[in-house]
Amino acid sequence: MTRGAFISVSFFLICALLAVLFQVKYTVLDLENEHTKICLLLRSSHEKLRVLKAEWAFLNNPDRLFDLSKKYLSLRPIKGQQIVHYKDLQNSGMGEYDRERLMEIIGCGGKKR
Amino acid sequence: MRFWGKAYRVGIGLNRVSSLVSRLETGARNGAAQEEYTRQLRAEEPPLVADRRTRKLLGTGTVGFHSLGNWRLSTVALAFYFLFFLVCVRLVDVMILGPRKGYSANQMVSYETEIPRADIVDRNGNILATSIVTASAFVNTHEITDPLEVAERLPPILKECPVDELKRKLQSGKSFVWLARHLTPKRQDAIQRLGIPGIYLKKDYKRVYPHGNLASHVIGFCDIDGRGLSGVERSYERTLQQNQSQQPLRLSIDIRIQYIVANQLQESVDEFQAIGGNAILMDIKTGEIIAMESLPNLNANHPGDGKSECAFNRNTLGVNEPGSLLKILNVAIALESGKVTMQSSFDATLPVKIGKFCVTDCGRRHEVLKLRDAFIYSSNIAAIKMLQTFGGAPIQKRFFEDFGLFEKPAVELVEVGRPIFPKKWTEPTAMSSSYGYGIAISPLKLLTTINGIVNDGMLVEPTLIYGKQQMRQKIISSETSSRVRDLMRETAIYGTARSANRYAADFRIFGKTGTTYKNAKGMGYSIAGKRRRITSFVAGFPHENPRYILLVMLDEPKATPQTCGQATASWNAAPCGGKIIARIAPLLGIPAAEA
Repeated sequence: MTRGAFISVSFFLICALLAVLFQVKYTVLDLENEHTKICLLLRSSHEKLRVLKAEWAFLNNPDRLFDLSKKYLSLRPIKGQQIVHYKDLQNSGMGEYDRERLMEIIGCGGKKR
Repeated sequence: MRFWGKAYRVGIGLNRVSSLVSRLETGARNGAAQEEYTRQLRAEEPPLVADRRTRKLLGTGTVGFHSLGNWRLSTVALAFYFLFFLVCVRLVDVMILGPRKGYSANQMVSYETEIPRADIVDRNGNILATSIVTASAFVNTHEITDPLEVAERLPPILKECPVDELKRKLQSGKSFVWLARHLTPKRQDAIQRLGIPGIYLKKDYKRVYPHGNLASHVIGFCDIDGRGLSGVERSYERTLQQNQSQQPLRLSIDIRIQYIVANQLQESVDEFQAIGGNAILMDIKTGEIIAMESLPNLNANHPGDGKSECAFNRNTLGVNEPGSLLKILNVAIALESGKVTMQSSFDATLPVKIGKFCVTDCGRRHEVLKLRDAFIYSSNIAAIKMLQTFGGAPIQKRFFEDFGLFEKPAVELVEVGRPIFPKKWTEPTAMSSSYGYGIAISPLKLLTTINGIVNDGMLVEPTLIYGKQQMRQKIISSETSSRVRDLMRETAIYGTARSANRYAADFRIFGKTGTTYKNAKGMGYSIAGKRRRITSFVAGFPHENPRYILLVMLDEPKATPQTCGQATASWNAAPCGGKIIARIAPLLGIPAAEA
């Protein structure tokens, strides 16, 4: 290979490499920009979620719920007599029918009606 | 130099190419001259230097670089090389070094690496403290051209900052001065719309506490820069600040229970016109604190608004003489020592003298009391006799040391008070301590110790962190623990804690009341003939398999017509405790016992 041809081929290869490098560089830059945008979007969503969670916690303040419950509902605080353990239900001679119904209500199977 | 040498050689090459082209073009016109020249070349006798006409006809530049054509070509080539060089430099600048970043005026300056402080949640995951993103305005005074004009334009937006202060800030000559912190989105927008160069908005985080006053002593609060100043916010500062995973800090507090405890305690404080009150609910087995309230409290969102006393956590920082609640320890020591049994009797007919003080019983029963009666009627005289029976000061001190009564509680708070006790544990000190005076400890320490006694003798350090494994230490036998529980159960049914059992009879509580007089430093137990009380009540439930223990204290409760002029614990603290248990036990999943 003559010197001129070598220089020409080298020149061509360098140009090609530069073109590829240029393409790759800008593809990477585009991807990086996209990644940054997604990250910012994600971050923004997280921040909005934080605000929403804080608001939800504020709305669920027991004091507020108690006042709202008194105003709009006829619910009263539960009493100790209203609480029974499941094993006590089993030992209390409750019939098969009722037990299955209870299982159905609490989502643990039972016959469908 | 090497580069320019190469450029020179490349230039010569280009000249040769161009001269060849010129020759081909002129060849047709000057065929004869070309043939002549070719002939000379073939004859291998080329002229050393062609004459001017021949060179002009052939258009050759191969012989000398000093020809006019060569000079022109070389200059143009160099110019192109220089331009290509500039392009390459720019390409390197753009592609490798990257674009330069800069911020324009009023642009939001954000710090992407900044991580918000981690959340604090209760045992059920309800948010107790969180950080929300806001923006704060700052000024670079070097970029402000007319500070006075800017100071006139800002006040409608920054209402909290007076004009004079704004002028001072704008003329300070500093490159960073805060104008306003934690602006609302509306105010951020208004500032940006002003378009004043030199005024920037910086992304910022604001700590918010959705439940306000609730559990404010436990959670604590932060300063404007988000640094913890009190409570868990301070003690877990590093964990919350450097939490890369953003995992929330889960406390053992249950915000529903906390609300009920705070609500009921506030009702009692109002009813008995007490200056304050405090309550702690603890899981007996794990030592987890389910609720801890101290009144008066503060709104963690605006900690500076309340009085200084509102920031005082009575449960951990306040120390006082526990009064009759210490008789639980006295009885436990007596039974554990083996020198006192359930059948033992104590002569409480006459008062006992300790130095200049005369110890009497409030109930004025003045009889020989069995251990059971001495406990459920809370006899001071019998407590001293009990101490003397089991061995006095040395034995008591050894047990107190085992109970950890002389050390501050190991809870995850900075605001923890050390117990106050005499350096020398003398016999009069031990006698005072047997019925609850002579040693001042925090309510949390008192509850921890009593918990250790009723929890099958297993002392568990209190904790505010959900699921944390705590140190356990056996301090008394299970038999003694069971007997003490039985005695406390009898106190709830027949003794001074009857008023609590009236409200919480369904949950088989066991408890003990205590009334102590406040000892104002240097002024004794009585000021201007008036004695100021602290009333307390401790109760566990359910009796057979205790799961929770509650301590309620009221500071200086007053007598009311409903209490028949009485202001002792059985008239105020005990009913308050009973009401709390009646409300929280169903939520804690404690079923009512069968009648």
